[in-house]
Amino acid sequence: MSAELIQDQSIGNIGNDYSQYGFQDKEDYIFKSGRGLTEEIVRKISSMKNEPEWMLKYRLRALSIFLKKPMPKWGNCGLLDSIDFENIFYFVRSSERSEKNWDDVPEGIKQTFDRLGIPEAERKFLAGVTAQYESEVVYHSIREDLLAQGVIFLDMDTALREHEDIIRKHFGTVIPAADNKFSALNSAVWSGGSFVWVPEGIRVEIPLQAYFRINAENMGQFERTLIIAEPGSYVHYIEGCTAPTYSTDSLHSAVVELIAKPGSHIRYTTIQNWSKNVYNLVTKRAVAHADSKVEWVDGNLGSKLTMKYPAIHLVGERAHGEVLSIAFAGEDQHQDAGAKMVHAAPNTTSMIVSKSISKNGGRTSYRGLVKVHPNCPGSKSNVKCDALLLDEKSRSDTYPTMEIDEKDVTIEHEATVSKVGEEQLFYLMSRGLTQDEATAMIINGFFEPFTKELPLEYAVELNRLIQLEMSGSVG
Amino acid sequence: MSAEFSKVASKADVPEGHVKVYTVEKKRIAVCNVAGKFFAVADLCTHDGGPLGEGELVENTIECPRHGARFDVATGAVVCMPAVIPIATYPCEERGDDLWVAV
Amino acid sequence: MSESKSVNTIARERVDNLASQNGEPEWLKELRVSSWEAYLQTPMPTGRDEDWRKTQIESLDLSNLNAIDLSTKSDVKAKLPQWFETALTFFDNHSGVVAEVGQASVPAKLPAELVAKGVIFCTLKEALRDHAELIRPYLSLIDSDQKFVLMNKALFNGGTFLYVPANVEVEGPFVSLTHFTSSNGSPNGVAIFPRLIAVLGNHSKASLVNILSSEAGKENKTTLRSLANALVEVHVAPGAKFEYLEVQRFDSNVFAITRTHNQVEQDASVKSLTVALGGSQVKGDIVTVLNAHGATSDLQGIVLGDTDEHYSFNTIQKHNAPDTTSNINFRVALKSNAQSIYQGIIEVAKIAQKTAAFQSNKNLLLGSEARADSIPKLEILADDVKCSHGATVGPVDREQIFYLQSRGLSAPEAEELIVTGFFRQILEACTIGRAKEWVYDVLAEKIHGV
Repeated sequence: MSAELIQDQSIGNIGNDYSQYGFQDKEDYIFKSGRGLTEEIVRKISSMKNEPEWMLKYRLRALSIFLKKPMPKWGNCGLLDSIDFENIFYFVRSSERSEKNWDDVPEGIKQTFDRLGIPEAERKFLAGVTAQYESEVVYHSIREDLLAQGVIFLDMDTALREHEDIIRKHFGTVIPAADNKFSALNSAVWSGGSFVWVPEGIRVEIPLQAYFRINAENMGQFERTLIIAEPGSYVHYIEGCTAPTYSTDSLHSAVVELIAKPGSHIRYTTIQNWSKNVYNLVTKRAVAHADSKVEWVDGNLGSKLTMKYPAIHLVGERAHGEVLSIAFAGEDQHQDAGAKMVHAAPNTTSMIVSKSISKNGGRTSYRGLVKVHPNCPGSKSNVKCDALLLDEKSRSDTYPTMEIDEKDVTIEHEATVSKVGEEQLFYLMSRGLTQDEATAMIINGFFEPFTKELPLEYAVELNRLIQLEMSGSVG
Repeated sequence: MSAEFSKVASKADVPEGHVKVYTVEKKRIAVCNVAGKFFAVADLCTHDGGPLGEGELVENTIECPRHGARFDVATGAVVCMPAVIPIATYPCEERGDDLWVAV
Repeated sequence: MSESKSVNTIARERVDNLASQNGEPEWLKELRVSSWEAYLQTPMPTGRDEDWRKTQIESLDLSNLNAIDLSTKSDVKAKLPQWFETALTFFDNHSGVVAEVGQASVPAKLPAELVAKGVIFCTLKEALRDHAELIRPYLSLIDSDQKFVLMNKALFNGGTFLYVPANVEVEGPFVSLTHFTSSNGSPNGVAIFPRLIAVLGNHSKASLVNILSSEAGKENKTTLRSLANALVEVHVAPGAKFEYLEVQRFDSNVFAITRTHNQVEQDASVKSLTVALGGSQVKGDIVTVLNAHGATSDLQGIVLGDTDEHYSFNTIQKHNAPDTTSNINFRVALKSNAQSIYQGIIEVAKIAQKTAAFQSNKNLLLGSEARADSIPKLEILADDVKCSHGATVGPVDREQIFYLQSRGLSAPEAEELIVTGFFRQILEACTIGRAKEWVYDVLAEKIHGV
C-alpha cells in the first residue's frame, strides 16, 4: 500500500476505535431462546426450521457428545474454562425469512448492514451476498448469470430444505460432531451459514460473500458452511464478521467444511473483526482431491480469544493447499491461530505463511501441523511464520509440529520473532512521518503478502483497521 | 500366503451393535457385530492412533471415540474424516458358535 | 538366575540401603528420601504427554529391574572396552580419565599441577567421601519436577564429579566413561543411575568428554528393557567457559533416559555436543538456563539412528536475563525404520531483553521406513529480541548418490560420505582435542553396522 494512501487517511483517533462496528441495535426479535443449552432448545431449533428427522437426530447425538467431551487441555485454558455455557442465548430469530432485496429486510437490520457498507460492496464487486444477523440469514442474493449456470449459493437452512440429498451426503463428513468440543456444540445448535455448490467446470470469477453480525449480548452464533466445488470449478468465498462491544461475552463457534473435487479450486477468505468480548472458536477443514487447490486466507483482528487452525487434507495426487494468515492481538486479546496440512497422497504440496503482531499486552500464538503419511513420496511443504512484538508487555508463541512418515519429502519450516526495526522507523521518521505513521507503514509492509491476496476494497479496509489499531500505541 | 485363522471369541461375546477388542498375534483387533454379521478391523484409528474398539458402531461404520472419524467395517474405507487413510480389515468367520479371525 | 525374579530396585527400601551401604551422611540420605517422596508424588509420564509423545514408556517395566552398583570396587586394572582404549588415543592430551565399568571403577590420575591448583575429577562416590562439604550444595541446587530426574536423585549410585576452581584454566579434556552390561543372564533388565556434576568456578575454563555406553552380555536373555537413567548437572560460574561432549552408545536392550541441565551465569558460556548412537528407546532432555546478563550457550546435537531405534530429544533454552544468547543446531539422520521426535523450545522471559536465540533442526531420512517429527517452539515474552527457528525433513539427494556412485563408490560408501557430510558442520565446531576424528570413526562404524 502506498504512502500516499496511508497519509490520506486520518489517524486522529487515539486508542482502538471500533466505533464503526461496535454500535448496538435495539433487540427486536421474533424469537429468542432462554439462556443455556438443553435438549429442549435443540429440539426447538430443529422444529422451528422444519428440519427432517435425521437432522434432529444428528443434533441430539452431537449434544450428547458435546456434554461428554472435555474442554481442550491446550491453548488458553484459563479463558476457555471461563466460558459460561449456561449464560448464552443459543438461538435468536430476528426476521421471518431471508429476503432477496435489501428493501425488504427489516428496517433496523438493514440500517445495520448499511452502516457496515454491505449493500454498497455488493453493488460494486460481489457475485452474491449472504447477511446473517444473530442465528439466521436475513438477506440473500446471487447474480442471475450464476444461477443460470447452476451455481447454488444459499443459506444453509434453505439449502437443507431445497437440496436435502446433497446436504445429507456431505454434511459432517469433513468435520464430524465428535471432532472437538466446539464442533460438537455447533453440530447440536447450528443455524445459518452458507451452502455453495459449483457445478463441474464452472468458474465463479467474482467473489461470493457472507457477512456475519452478532447483535444481542451473550449471543451464541453457530453458523455452518459447506462448500462443494465439482471437478474443474473455481469459487472464491469471503466472510466478514463484526459484533457490538458489550461488557459480557458472546460466543462464535462455526464449522466450515470445504470439498474440492479433482481439478477444482476453492479460495476461502476471512476477515474476522469481532469485538473484544467474543470468543471465536471455529473449526475449518478442507479435503482436497487430485489436482485440486484449496486456499485459506485468514485475517484475525478482533475477538477476545480466537482458536482457529484451518486444515487441508490433501487426499488426491498433486493436490495443493495454502494457508495465508495474519493475526493482530492488542490489549486483552489472544489470537491462537495456525494451520494444518495433512499430506495423504503422492506429490502433494502445501504452503503456510503466518504473520502476527502483538501489542499492548496482546498475545499471538501460531499453532500448526504438517503431517505426511507413509507412501506419499514427492510431498513438499513450506512453512514460514513471522511475529512482531511492539512492546515489552506483549507475547508471541510458535508451536509447530511436523510429523513425517515418508522418506521422499521436502519439508521446511522457518519462524522468526523480532521487534519493529529501529533503523526502519528512524528512516521513515526522517522522511517526515510520525512514529505512528511509520509504524503503521512498516506493519502494512509486514502484512503485505496477505493484503495483496485480498480484493482491493478489503485491502484498503484492512489497512485502515491496522492504522486505527496502531494509532497512539507506540512510543 | 493364506493367513491362519484363530478362534477369538464365541458369537455370544459380541452382541449385536457392539464391539469387542481381542489380541491376536500381538495385534489388537476390534470385532464388530453389525446386524448379526461379524467383521474384524484394526483397533487403531489412522488419524492419531485412537482406540477404535472403544468407539460406537453407527450403521455399518465404526466411529473413533477421539475425533469422530468413521470407517466402513467391511472394507476399512474412510467414511468420515478427520482420518484419510483406511484401516486394516481381517477375515472374520463364524464357525458354529465361535468367531475365527485371520491376522 | 534364569528365572524372572521380582526385585525392588526402584523402591524406598533401596533408597535406604544405598544410604547405609555407602555410609552416606545423614543430610545426603535426607536428600535422597525427599527426592524419593517427590518421585512418588509425580505421575508417571505417558505417551499422551507432549514431552513423551511416541516414546514407548509403557515398554519400560520398572518393577523388575536389577540395579548395578556402579563403581563399588576401585580397580586400576579393571578391563576397559577395547573401543574405549582406542577412543583414548584420540584424547592423548587428556587431563584425567574416570572409567566406571559396571561395579569396577578406574580412578583418575590427575597431573600433579592440577591437583595443586585444587582441581577435582573423580567418581561421585569418591567425591561424596572425600569432598562432601564441597559437593553438598550442588546436589540440590537444580530443582526438578521430572519423574525420572527425581528417580535419579533418589537412587543415583555412580557417576562423576568435576570441580575446577576459580581462575583455573585446564587445557586437555577430562574423560568420563560409564559402561555397563545390559543383561545379566536373567530375563530381568538391569538399571543404572549415574549422575555427573561439573562445577566451573569463576573465570575458569575446562572441557569434558562423557561417554555413556552399554553392551549385551554373553548370555543375553533379557526380555525386559534395561534402564539407563543418567543425570548431568553443569554449573558454569560467572566468566567461566565450559565445553562438553557427550557420546551415547547404548545397545538394543536399553531404554535410556538422560537429562542434562546447564546453569550458565553472568558472561559465562557453555558449548556442548551430544552424539546419540544407540539404544532401543532414547529420551534425552537438554536444558540450558541462561541465568544472568551476558550468558551464552551453543548446543549441537547428532543423532544417527538405525533399525528399531527410537530417539526423542527435547532441548529447552531458557533466557532468564537480558543480553543472553543461545544457539541450537540439532541434526538427525535415520536409517532403516529408525524414528526420531525432536522437540525444542526457546523461552524468553519478560526481562530478557536483547536476547538472541536460534534453533535449527535438520532431519535426513535414509531408510524407507524412517520417521522424523520436528516440533520447534518459541515462547517470547520480551519484545527486543531476535529469535528464529528452522526445521527441515528430507531424503538424501538422489543426484548426490548417483554422482558418488558414478565415481566408483559403493552404496554404503556413498552413504557414509553423505551422512558424515550432513554432520560435518557440527563436528567441525567441536574443538575438544581430536574428539571430532573419533566421532567420525564411530559414526562410520554405525553406518556400516559394525
